[in-house]
Amino acid sequence: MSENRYQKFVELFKNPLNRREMENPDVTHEGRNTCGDTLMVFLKIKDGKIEDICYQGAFCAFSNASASQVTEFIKGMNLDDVLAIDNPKLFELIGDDLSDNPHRLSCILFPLNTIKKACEKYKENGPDKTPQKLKKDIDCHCDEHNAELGIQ
Amino acid sequence: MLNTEEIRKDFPILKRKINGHPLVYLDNGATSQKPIQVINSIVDYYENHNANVHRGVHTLSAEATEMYEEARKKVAKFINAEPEEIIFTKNASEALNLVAYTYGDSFISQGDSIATSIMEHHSGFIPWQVLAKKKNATLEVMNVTKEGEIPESEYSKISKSKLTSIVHASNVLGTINPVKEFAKLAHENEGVILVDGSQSVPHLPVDVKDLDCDFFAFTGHKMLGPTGIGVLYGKKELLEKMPPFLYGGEMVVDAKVEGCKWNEIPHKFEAGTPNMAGTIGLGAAIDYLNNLGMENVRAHEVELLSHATKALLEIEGLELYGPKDPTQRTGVLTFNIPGLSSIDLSSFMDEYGFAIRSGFHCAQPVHEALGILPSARISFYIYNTKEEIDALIPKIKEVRKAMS
Repeated sequence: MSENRYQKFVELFKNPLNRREMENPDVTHEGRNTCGDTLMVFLKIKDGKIEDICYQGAFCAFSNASASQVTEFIKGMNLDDVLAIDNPKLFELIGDDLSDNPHRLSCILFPLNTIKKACEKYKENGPDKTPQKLKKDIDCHCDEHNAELGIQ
Repeated sequence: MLNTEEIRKDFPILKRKINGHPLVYLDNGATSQKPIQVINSIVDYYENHNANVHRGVHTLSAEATEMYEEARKKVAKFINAEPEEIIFTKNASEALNLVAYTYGDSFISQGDSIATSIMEHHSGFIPWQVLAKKKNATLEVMNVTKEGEIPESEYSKISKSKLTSIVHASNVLGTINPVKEFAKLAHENEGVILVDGSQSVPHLPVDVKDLDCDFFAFTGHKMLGPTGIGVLYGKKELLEKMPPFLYGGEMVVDAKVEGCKWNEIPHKFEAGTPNMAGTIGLGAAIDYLNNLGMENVRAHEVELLSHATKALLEIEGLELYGPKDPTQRTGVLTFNIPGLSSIDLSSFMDEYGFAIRSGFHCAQPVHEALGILPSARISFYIYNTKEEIDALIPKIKEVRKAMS
């Protein structure tokens, strides 16, 4: 594939920032995008500020690039400031507003929306008592599926 | 065999370039392109014959009515039905919902079972889920094997159901279901069967009398016709005992303050001004397909499927879903490449002019049942060639290499 405007997305896909899991997060949230992609965010919060944030899931390179940039940007930020991040700020962080590729817009909005839901959840309820566990990245489970049906 | 070189000349859109590359259209499972004959039939209708049907005695109204009813006859003949058994709808979704809202609402009661399968398109799944909830009935969902077939152990769900709704061919797995056998099973147990033929009618010869299904739904836009026109076939005796779907003009013969008398079938189910141009366009699409011969359409597809299946499986790690035997499936090939999201693949292939689909294809339940991610799908039609597939494979490999 030749170099293209999304090359930076491709580079981040190969070397993502903060794409990992976290031991004992204070709050988690799993989002599902309309295309079927899933992304779970893990947040460590101290004194109303984001001490650490990371994410995992099954999502595209555009979401990955957006999640990489946003999580890097919001470390140390307080929750209300995160909730106030608007689209122009997001486009600035990503370096692209996808104005000529609007059907991929939801891919780059998806991580920030998921993070905001986690922040709202924390503001409302405090730390998760039983943090959600990440469902393993889904791979083909066809063989197990057949076994469940009693088929070899 | 089809002469694709000649066929391609009939499709103006195939001359388009996408991002500087010739268009390779491989999203026919979503919608097909339209030949000039279909486009011209719609232009001719609006330029020369437009008037409301069944409404007036003037020349234009008579012409429009004749053209509209002529299209109904063409559809009926195409699937071996009687014209009065053909109801025009806006798409297959509306046809499926029509059965749920009329037959389902009247004849499904508390405690009854409705059978369907996990490989349904959402439009053939949700209406039954909602109806079952509303009626306190049970939804029996037949599962599929990893090869994309419904195992015989699941057939008992049909035997115990009052109504079975099943796709003729899956829009994800390509599986052609044994609907004739399912119809026999349903009838032996006093049930009825509705077949969703959206992915079969454009690709295979279909004979509803031979299948002996009670209802059969499909859409025009996947078979060279325009959007906004769909079809529901129903056995006459069933249609006659069903209540209307929507109320309005055309579906009533005697409208009084005290009550109304419904029109005869099929008009009882066609309230309001219908999509005349769409219907006439669908008629032109059927003429086009008849001219090619559906046996030839199918043979061309099997040939492309064989070629593409082999080529795709040479891509290391690629997971191809559904039956591997091309004679057991229609022209959709759905796959995933580990580590590469289907939406990225589709986006980056678009840069090379390839139109391929990504996501759940409106069939999330089958993805979840098989534990697979949103997938990439290529789907063929009469104008696709082996050369297009040969050009596709190295580009997929290139995208994959760039992303890993």
